[in-house]
Amino acid sequence: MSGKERDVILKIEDLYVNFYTYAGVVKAIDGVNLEVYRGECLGLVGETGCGKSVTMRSVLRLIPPPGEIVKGKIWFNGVNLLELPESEMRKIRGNKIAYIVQEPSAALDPLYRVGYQVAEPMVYHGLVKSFKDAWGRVIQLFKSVMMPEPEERAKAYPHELSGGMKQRVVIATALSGETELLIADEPTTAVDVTIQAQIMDLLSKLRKERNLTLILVTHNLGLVAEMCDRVAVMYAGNIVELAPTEELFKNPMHPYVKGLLAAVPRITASKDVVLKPIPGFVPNLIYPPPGCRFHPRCDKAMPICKREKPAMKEVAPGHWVACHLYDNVKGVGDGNE
Amino acid sequence: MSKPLVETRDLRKLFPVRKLFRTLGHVHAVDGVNLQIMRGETLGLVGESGCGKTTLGRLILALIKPTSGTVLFDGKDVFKLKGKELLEFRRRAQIVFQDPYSSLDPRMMVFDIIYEPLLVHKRHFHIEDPEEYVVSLLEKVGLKREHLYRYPHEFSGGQRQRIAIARALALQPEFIVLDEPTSALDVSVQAQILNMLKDLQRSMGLTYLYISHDIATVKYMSDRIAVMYLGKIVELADSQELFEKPLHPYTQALLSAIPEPDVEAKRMKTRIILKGEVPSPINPPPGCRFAPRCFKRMDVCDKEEPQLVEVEKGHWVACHLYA
Repeated sequence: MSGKERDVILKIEDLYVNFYTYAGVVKAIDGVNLEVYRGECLGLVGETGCGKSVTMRSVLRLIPPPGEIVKGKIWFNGVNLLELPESEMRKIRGNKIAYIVQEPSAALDPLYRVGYQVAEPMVYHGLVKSFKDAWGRVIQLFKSVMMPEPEERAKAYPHELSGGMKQRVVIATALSGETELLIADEPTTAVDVTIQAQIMDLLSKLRKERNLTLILVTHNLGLVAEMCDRVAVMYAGNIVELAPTEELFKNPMHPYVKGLLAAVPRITASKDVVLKPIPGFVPNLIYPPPGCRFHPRCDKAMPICKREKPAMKEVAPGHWVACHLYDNVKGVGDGNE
Repeated sequence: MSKPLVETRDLRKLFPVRKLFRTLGHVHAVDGVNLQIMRGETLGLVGESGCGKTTLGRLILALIKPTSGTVLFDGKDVFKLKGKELLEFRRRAQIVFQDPYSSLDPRMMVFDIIYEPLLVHKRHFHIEDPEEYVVSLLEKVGLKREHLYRYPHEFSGGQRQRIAIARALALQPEFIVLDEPTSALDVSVQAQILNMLKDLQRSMGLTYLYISHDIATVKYMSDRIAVMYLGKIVELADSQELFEKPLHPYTQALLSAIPEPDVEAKRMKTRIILKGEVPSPINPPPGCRFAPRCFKRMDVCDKEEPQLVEVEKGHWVACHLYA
């Protein structure tokens, strides 16, 4: 990366993840490189099946079989997570790195009171001596996620809470450790817009208070525009563009990103604006197209796109794009990574 | 756009909540809705989950019986139709469901899925070449002849939704209820389906009721928009008007809560964040149902239920602020 050196909290290097299914090998992640700076909010955007969740789950080494991390390095605070023994990894999971899943009802055990579930990781990680000691901190956490009537709610079972409240419980759990990095994987897909506004407001407040690094995984470009400092866009297992938020929305470079922005309906648009869909559909990753994985749907595809996979190139300070259209554009610094 | 094709009159649907043999209360899913859908227009219906928008769509199609009130389709009460007349209504009014993964029978081939309505309605006598007819429908929705003898699992979500739309078009209907037709799809594919629906409306003279929680797509599709909250219509206006001048506090909060994929818009907008969550629709309190979350609440709101009144031409709102 060029420009001033920034404190890198997480660095993903050349990550490959495969899923070995009966139908064939799904090459879900195909060489992802990503740096996350301390204290920033990074948006990871893409459509269903593009590999955004798999990339983030790889960070926690939570890829279930038949999936496997084939190669790559994931540096967290200078330690390669992929080489750590499982016992060390457990000390990081839910403590230094917390993960908020999409579906809060699936994240909570229906048989335990929610307060207990928030306390559990604290006891496990040795932050408190017993569940009794943890209770006070649970109430505190519930207050900080603005749970109404925290004392009462901590004794509730998950089915007694609404979707928005369940998500608050999950966020409280995520904050229970010595959290440095918070990965929020579609935190608001399961809730309504007015609740989404509450949750996002809460997340940005907590981020400032606790100086958290937040990775927001979403398919909602609107959320990214409002929340994030930088955005990475994924398509079919690759990061195709990475830029500061303002830059990406004002000056998108990759044809896929351009297409995506033209395909989103906006409430500020006038009645006559016609959406421009991207033709075709997301490719099957068992037999991904050769070269650039986007070329079958790309309106600017050239012969080279079918042969060679484009590398990430820094075309403007901090603005990286993986597309052959910019092969001849003078890059910043050395260009290819 | 002169005569309403569909009209609901004080439509009400309560679902009883039972425990053993006692009735504990009623879910007021749809509670006194008066709507008119004009011929050739798209009426958008927005609201959060559980506000009753799907129930309203099903009532309009007479798929469920109302507790009280009526629905008039082309001037006739749909709940009183019988025999041939009912079949004719079923032909003229169709629905496209939210989830194309569960609305298509996995054991049927595309041809059978699309041809089945014609058999049910005994229309196949009039068709010389069934295969050609189905192919012509497939082409209308952007699919090809080669897809004719495949099973649903061989298609992506977007393609499945196209099949579901082709099935809805098979009987040449006049009115289609689109119940969240794109919520299971990705953005790039969503735009394909929305544009296709608009083209079909133009070429076939269709009338749509477009139900969705995604306000941006509702705006893109609709001529007029009705906003629903807990079983009631709280605001109804021309699409452009509603976005420029939302009157009901709920509509204002709803519009301000939508994140726009635009960095400029973010700085201009002041967000209204509502307190609390949508209350349970079981035995809702008297007065305005939005009052507990409203940021402009007055004393009268807790006591009296606001009526839907026309404050400007074509702009209806149910709020004491404008009474």
